[in-house]
Amino acid sequence: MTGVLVKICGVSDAAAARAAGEAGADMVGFVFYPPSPRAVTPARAAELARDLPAGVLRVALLVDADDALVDAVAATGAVDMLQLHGRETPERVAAIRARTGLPVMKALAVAGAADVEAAAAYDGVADRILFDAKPPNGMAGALPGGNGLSFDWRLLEGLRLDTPWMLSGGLDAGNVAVAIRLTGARAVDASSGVEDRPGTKNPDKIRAFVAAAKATAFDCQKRPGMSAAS
Amino acid sequence: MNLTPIAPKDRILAAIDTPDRGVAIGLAERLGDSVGGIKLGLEFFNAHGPDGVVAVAGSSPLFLDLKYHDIPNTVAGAVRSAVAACRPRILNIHASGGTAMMRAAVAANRDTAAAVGIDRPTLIAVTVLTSLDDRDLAAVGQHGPAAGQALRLARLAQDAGCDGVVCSPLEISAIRAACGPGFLLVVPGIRPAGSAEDDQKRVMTPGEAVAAGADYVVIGRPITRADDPASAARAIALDIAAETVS
Repeated sequence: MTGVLVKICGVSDAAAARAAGEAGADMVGFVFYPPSPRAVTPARAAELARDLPAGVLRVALLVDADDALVDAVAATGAVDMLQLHGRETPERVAAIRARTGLPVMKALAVAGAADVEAAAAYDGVADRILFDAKPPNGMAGALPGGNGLSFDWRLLEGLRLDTPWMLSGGLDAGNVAVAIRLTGARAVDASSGVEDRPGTKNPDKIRAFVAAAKATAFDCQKRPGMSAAS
Repeated sequence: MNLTPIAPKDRILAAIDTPDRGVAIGLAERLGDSVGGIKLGLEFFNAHGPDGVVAVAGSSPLFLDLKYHDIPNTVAGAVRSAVAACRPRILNIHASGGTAMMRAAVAANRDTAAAVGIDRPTLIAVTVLTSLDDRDLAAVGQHGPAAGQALRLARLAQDAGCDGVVCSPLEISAIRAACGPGFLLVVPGIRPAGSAEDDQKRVMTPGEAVAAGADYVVIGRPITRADDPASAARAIALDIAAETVS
């Protein structure tokens, strides 16, 4: 048994970065997607990255980015990993990985079983796969992630991946323990669940989320597909 | 001059100042590609020679910091031997050796690199040693102030065909303005903010030096004496990124 890996995504201010670092988050994500209320410029991301503890992995979130943006983000030298949160194909994931030399996490939006099955195409291509909730059709102002929605975690039953994966989508301090126990996730990600409103992180909620996730001992025997015995 | 942007970590040259071969090899291995290259100087070279230098550098870009200063023929010979035997990415001479000496070094560097089939090493000149203040300069018959003398020697080095100079953080702006964007500025004597050696002598962080116009920063103990040298280098790279990414 050991603690799960925790990522705080969409950090755009120093107080949130400090809270994530002090709380013991393993990864901090910066959003390079201008329509997002959590978007940061490369300069801002570089400043925030500097002030995180050394061991924290700095992750850049991109949505269907072209090569110019990918190169610009990689060239900052301030990020350790790319998170692709759009409709990037496995080929695109591999190309960006080769182009930048950085590890890549591919985010997949989940609404049904087919969305989880789609992960197989990225298995062994991406360095990590992140399962996030797919916003419902017609949701006003829907973003590729960070909408505060969860998907049906039972969809992960039977999931078999060689690539490490991460659970996201509507996680907060109140539900992360259940989510970890139910899915067997060894890595969890929160964005809207540690905010007061979209784009405004709450340091207390960040600390509470990291603490709740880290306090949840995941059971090495517990895998998706097994019943969630209490 | 290569104008592609240099990644923040690649701007860091780690100064490995030790006479111990094993320590130097171990440090270079632990640093891996967390820095842009390693600098080996007189202490190590005089203990282990080119074979030791090659063993430590491995595939890392090497700044061979031997600061030649002699009559032109002798310096040209030293450059020929060093380029052929050590294959440095950067090597240096003293600008105060004069124009003829610098031109001889430039030619020897170019010709030897072509002869042995490697990319031409970058040849830079030392201006004023950072240990000399205005009074020290006057005592050896050089005209101060130090900043003015450094600028004079930088221009002389550029005119002689050198690719750049070693200079102090305080001289970056003036030399950059005088010698243009393509002239390489390598800046030693910088300590990261908050490092153990941090004291009132620190005038710039690595990030501030690069923001001011330095191409490379040479950093020794804050990296080499850290518990985790690669991690220390990474923190410095992040400082450079924070100061320079726009």
